[in-house]
Amino acid sequence: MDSFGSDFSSGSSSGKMDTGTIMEQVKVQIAVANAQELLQRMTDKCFKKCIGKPGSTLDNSEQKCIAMCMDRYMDAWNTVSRAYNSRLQRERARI
Amino acid sequence: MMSLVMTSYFCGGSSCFHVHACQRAPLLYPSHVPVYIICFYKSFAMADFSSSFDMPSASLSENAEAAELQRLIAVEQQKAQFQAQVHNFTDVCWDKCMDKPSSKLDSRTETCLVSCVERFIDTTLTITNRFTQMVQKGAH
Repeated sequence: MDSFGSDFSSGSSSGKMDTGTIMEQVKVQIAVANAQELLQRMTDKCFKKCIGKPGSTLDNSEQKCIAMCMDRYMDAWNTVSRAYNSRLQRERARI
Repeated sequence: MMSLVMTSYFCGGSSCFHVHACQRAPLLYPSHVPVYIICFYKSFAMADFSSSFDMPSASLSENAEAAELQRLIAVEQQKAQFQAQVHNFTDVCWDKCMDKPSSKLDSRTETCLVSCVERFIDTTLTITNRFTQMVQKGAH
């Protein structure tokens, strides 16, 4: 796992880091990690769906399949995200 | 009501002070890095303001800053946990609902995905409740 980013010592004598700067770094790193997770799972699913017997190259049909699969995976991700969100809101309303 | 985020905040309730506590995260979130990152930042926020050698004691403003930072980090953590769950659900429900990748997500597949999420959550709650009952019965 690569480093968490910049070194935490600030230039100031107090040694504190600005809250805003820290939160910016947190958000960026989370976004990057989220994208990595998405790509990893997407690659796994689309490889399984689109590549039958692995040949010496990715032929045209396989490439088209991968492109479609990526779009469908992201659509599915968004659908699941909305469904989960509404379920959470429903459950919170019950409490 | 059982939290729908199926695993509790892995650092346990209040805080995690040491980075090696954060390294237990992969056991709960095997491939989800953001929760690990947040734990690291949390322990940094806790450590920084309680163990500095330059100042005899943390001033009021530092405590307020640390508290604010923890609050903001907790918000980001919730978001990250939500997204981790979405990744898991999408993984499971993709296998259940998608046949051949087509040019558009048709309504049948979309309905299947929504139902899949709902039923998966229902299953989790059912299992948790029944398991709780089993454990309570077993305790006699």
